[in-house]
Amino acid sequence: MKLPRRRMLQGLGASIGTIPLIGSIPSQAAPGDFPKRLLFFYSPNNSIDRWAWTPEGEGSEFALPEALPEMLSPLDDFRDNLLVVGNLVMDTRDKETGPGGHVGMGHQLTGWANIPWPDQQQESEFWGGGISVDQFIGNELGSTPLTLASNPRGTNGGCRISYTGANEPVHPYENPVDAFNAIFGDTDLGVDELQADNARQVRALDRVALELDRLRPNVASDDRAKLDKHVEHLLALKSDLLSFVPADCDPTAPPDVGYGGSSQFPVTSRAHMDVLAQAVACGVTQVGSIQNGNTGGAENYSGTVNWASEGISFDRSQHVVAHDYEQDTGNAAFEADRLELEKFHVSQYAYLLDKLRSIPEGDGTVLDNTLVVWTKGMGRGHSKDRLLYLIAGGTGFPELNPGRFLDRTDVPHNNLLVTIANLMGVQTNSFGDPEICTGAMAL
Amino acid sequence: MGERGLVVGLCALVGGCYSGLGAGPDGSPPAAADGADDGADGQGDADDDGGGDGDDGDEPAELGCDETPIEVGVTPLRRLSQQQYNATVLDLLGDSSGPADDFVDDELRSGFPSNESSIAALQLDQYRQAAKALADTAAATRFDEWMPCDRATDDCVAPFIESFGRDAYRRPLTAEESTAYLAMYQEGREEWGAEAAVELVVQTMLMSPHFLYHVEVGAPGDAGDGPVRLTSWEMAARLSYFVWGTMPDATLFDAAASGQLDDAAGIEAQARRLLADERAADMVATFGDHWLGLSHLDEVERDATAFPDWDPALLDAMHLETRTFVEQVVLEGDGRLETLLGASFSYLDPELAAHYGVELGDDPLGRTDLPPGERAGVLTQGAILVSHAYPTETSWVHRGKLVRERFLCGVMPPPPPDIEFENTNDPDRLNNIECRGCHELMDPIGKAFDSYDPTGRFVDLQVEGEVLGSDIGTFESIPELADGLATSEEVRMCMAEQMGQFALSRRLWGADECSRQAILETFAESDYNIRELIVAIATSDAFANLAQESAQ
Repeated sequence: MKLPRRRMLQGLGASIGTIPLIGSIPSQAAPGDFPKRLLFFYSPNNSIDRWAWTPEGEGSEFALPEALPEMLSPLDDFRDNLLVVGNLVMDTRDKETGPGGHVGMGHQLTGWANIPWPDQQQESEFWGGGISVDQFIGNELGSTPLTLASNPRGTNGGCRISYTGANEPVHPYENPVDAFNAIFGDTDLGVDELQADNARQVRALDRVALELDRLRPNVASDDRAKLDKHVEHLLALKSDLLSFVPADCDPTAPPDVGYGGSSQFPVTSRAHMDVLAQAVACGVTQVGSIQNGNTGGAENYSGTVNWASEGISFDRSQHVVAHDYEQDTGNAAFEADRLELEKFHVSQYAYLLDKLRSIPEGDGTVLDNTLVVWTKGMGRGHSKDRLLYLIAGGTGFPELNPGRFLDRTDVPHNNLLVTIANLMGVQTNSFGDPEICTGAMAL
Repeated sequence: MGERGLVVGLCALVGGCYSGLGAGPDGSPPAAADGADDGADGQGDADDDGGGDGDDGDEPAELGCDETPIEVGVTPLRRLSQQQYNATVLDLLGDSSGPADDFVDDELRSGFPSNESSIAALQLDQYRQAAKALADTAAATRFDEWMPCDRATDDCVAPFIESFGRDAYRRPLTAEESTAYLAMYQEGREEWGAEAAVELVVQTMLMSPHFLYHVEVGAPGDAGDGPVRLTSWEMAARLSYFVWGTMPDATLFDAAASGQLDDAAGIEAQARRLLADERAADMVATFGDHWLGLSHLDEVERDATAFPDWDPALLDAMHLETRTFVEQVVLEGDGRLETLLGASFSYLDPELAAHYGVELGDDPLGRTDLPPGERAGVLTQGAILVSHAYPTETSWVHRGKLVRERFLCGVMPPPPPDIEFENTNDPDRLNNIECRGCHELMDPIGKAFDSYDPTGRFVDLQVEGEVLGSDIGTFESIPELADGLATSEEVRMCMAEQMGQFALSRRLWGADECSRQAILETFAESDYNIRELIVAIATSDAFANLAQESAQ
């Protein structure tokens, strides 16, 4: 897909979402002249065991072989962009108060243990315990992350990965059409009309801010914090509306084929990734994430996997497929299903890489200037161990030195988050819980 | 079926696992269940602080609720649920577009919608876009009705602002608010014309915290640290959202304005009026959906190989069955908990009757007598049975967990990571010391539900179950379990607990103990009539008062 850099005077529409639009990008430039971008790709359940993804080689660091291990084979074509990081550990989970393997949903990008809701009844009744690394980096770069999810199925800690702070989940766009409209606009209004409309909106926002302010002293202190947060978001929205300029590109909207639901899960996810790729290419944002399902998948346990679009079907949910595999019964059918499922997710990750690589930028492509990180909330057996991360990127990140495997056994995952920040040009020595983080993970 | 893993396998560390409300004379969660003496790691104590702070030392039974000052728990500030938002804009604007369907899903707390978390950026923008679209439609279609006069004059505009504002904010506007909105209108009219101006006023009100939140700050009081009463307007709103799931109607607003809600008798009269109105039906059915854990019913699928006769259209019929049943029993029938659990009838359509293998009666609502011994009450209705089963097989854990959590108010923690097990329905869990602590509370109940297959059909099977550590004991069929539950003190307490959570977004523990006792007493006197439970909650101190933070 090409993004012609035609200045849009009309038809770009009501870009009145909450994402500030950044100006145009020069069409001829060398790597390094382009903004660095960062995208997270989340997929549900545990990492499949190492046999499926550990490449053949000597020692703890070595070049990836020509043919990648079975699970990673959809990435053969991206071998030279790919850093495979194996065996990290999510030590923040030692600080959880309760049992359960799904708490890592809140840990993976925050590097903190979760905060349970009062009177917690169910495993997922919690929120993350700190700002997540995507939001942190976005703040540092002055770029609001675009947070997208395909079938997260609910509003609790088991369904969120991104946080602006402790107990402050970032709710994702679930419909790619909504996400596209929010950042690129969906009306036929011209720029002047839009700016006039936005000026009216600002009057409404000002009045609401005043009412929040007047209400504040009359509510309990816990509730005051909620109203403060409300005002903070109002002011941000106001600033976005006032600073509105149309995006300098000609994006393609996702076809409105009906998104959401278990059977449309893969299609919804790809449409989201199309939006994400265009958003970073167009300069709408530098940071984003695509969350595929929630902690356990994209279905309820009473449902099945039935993806006609992929030719994949199981008589049970993704989560049950993952658990079946964990039983170590040597059941070949369970193993085959599990591998098929995980290869599907890897192929979706490859889709995003392919999308970014298809957009020219300077002498290369957008992928050269984008880090795409594969992340999960749990290791094998729902444990904190043996986490697999994939980091794809290109010439914009010389320190990445892709095409390698790194065995980082027992390195806390917080350290990887530090490394990602540093790769993005955000200098820090620690991220998340300082009692867990021991500095950047060596590349 | 082959081996299966579990979504919530629940071979639990037993520290956080307790069986229900049975113990605890002070209403606090009872001690851990039998056998829960190993592996405790602190999780269990996450649930013990109820709604009140610092009340753990109280012993209300000895203090005597009549003599002590009123004490109540804290309901957190929360935003309208999706259902409440849609119903409110329907009543306020006549707009049936259901904009909240596209909002971020409600937070479910203890199973019931309660949007207590801070608003996030996306939600703010969703509220803004919805308000804009609603105001746009309303200004275009209702302008003449709203202002049938000279729209340039304050005399024409002010009454509209006052009356629409009262309905949107669910209380009269303050003088500052009236003036500010009148000014907003007049400035807007001069700049863009009257219609755009009224649109902006309406949009702004729909984005106001007084519309989006359940704002409850209480009457300005004399009381020191003690609770303050809700204003009569706040009481009207609490009442209508509890019983109707929407804003007050004109009669309820009038009652608030004329001081009729200042005492329990006036509140009771209005609560009974609301209950008798048809608007209560949807809310009672919605309560049922959350109470019975049916929120994922529309996601249920059955494996076509295992169940070639399964028709997904039955899901709608099953949902309708349960909604109609709960509605009819609670609002039209005898209202009794015992009937909800043990009724020998249900409401079926022809397809569902055929699926169950029962003869359909000729009642217009499909009221049908059920074969004794096969089915009784909500527990044997298809909606519960199919949504608590896997695509290919039953689930002892999920069906047992449902009974434990939704009928006995127990808390079943998740299984620890790194567990190994062979089967979904695995009898070995009860032989394993680590698993048994929780699974003995669930599996012996859930296993007995094997007399209903994953599609909800009755299977003639010799079953034997036990509700361990309760006053229910053993049973030999699910109707027998239903009988046991229907007359169990624990289930009665749990029902009151669930309704209290639904009404007030908090547990009626701790500081609410005296209200809880009063509610339970009235519930008992009514022979456990749900209508009376609703009225008892609505007329309780817990419902009428707000806790104040101690002086800072």
